[in-house]
Amino acid sequence: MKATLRPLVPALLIALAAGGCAAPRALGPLDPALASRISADCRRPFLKETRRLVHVLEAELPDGARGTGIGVLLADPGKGTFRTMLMTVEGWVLFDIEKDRKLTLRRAVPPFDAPGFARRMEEDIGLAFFPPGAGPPAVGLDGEGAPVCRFARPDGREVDVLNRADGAVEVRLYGQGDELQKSVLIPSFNRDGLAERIEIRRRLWPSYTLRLRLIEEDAGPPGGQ
Amino acid sequence: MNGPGSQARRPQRPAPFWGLFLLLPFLLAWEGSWDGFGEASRRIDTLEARFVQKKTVPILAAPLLSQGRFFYRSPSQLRWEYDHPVRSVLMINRGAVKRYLREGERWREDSSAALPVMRVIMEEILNWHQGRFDASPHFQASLQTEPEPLVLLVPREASWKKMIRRIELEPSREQAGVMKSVRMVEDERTFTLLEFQGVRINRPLPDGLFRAVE
Repeated sequence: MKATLRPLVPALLIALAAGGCAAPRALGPLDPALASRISADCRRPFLKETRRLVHVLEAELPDGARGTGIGVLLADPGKGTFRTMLMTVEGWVLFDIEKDRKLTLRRAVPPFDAPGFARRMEEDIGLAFFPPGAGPPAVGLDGEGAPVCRFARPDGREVDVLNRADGAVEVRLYGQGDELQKSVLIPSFNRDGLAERIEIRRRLWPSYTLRLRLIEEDAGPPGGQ
Repeated sequence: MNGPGSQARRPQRPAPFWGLFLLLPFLLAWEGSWDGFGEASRRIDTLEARFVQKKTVPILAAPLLSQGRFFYRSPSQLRWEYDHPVRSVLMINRGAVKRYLREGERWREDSSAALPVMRVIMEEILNWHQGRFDASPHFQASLQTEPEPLVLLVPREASWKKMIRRIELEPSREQAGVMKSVRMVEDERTFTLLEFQGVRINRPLPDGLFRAVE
C-alpha cells in the first residue's frame, strides 16, 4: 500500500463500520437445535396480553430540543389494537389516537397535528410492543455471531430482533433497500417481563429519539381493549 | 413537549388554557361576587401549597396521581413543582418562563413545544391577580352558589370547545383567596382534578425560588 493512502485506512474502516446498517444482512447458519429457543426468545420483548402502560416519555429532536411528558397506552397484542394518549406533566392531553381497524385521531394539539405524526406514532408502538409477525421468523446469526430473528412484513420491509449477550433486546426495522429505518432498544425487563426502559430511534428524516420509562402497568380490561 | 417530526410548528390554541391552568390554584376568593375576588386577591402577596393531581382518562382503570408544590409571589412570580411521578419545575419570573426536568442527579432545562406559549400565562395571571376573572377573551366565567360555591369557566370559541369543555373552580370557604380544588374537564371521561392542601399565605418567599431551579 502506498504511504500516501495509509492514513486513509482508519477512516475507510470507520466509514465501512458506520455503513454497516446498509451492508448485506445475510443470516449465517445456526445450530438447528437452537432455532426454536431463539425464536421463542425473539418474542420476549413484546406484549403477550392486553396491558395498560404508563410511561414517562422523553423526545429528542435533531436540533437537540428535548421535551418530556407522560404517555398512556392500552394495547391488545392479540388484535393488534391500541389507544394511546400523550399528555404534559400537568395532565393536559396533547395527543390521542386509537388503532382499531383503522387509525383514528381523537385529539392532536399543535404541533402534534403535523402530517405523518400519528402514523409514525402508530409504527413506533407496533415496533416496540407488538410481535413483528404471526408466522415463524427466519433465524440465523448476524455478522457478529449474535442470534437474529427476521420477520417479513406485508409491506416488504423486514424486522430483525436481536437478543444481545448483555440481556438487552434490539428491534430493527429495515426498508426494502436494506436501509435501517428505525431501531428499538430495550435494555432490561421487569419481573412481569415488561420493558422497563425503551429507546426508539428513527433514522430517517425527520429523525428523533423517544425514551420511555415505565412507571405504571396493569392488565387491561377483561376481553381486551 | 415536542414529538416525532414536530420541530417547526408552534402551538397556538393551548396558550390561554395554559394561562388558566397555571393560575388556577390561587387568587380566588369566594365572597359571592366578582368584586370580592379582586379585594381578596390584593390582600395576598405570597401563597404556597401542596397539591395532588388526579388525571382521569378513559383508558386507565384508576386516575394517574401526581403531586407537588406551588409557590406564588405577587405580582408576577410562580413556581409550579412536581415531585411525582416526574420531577419537574415550571417557573415564571416576570415574564420569563422556564421548565426543568430532573435527570438523575441533575436538572435539565426542557425545550418543550408548549413552553413559548406559556409567556401568555402572565397576562392571564395578572388578570386574575387583579380579580379580573371576566377579563379573559377565551372563557366565559359564571358563578354558581348551590349546592356548593363554584366558578365555571366555559370556552367562548368553538375551537376551544373542542379541546376543553369547562373548568370548575371550587373556592375555599375557610381561606379567602385560596382554592380548594380545580377540575378541568376535557370531556366527560377525561379530566384533571387538582386538590390543594396546606395552603399558607403571606409568608416570605425567597426570590431565588422563582429564579433558580435549586
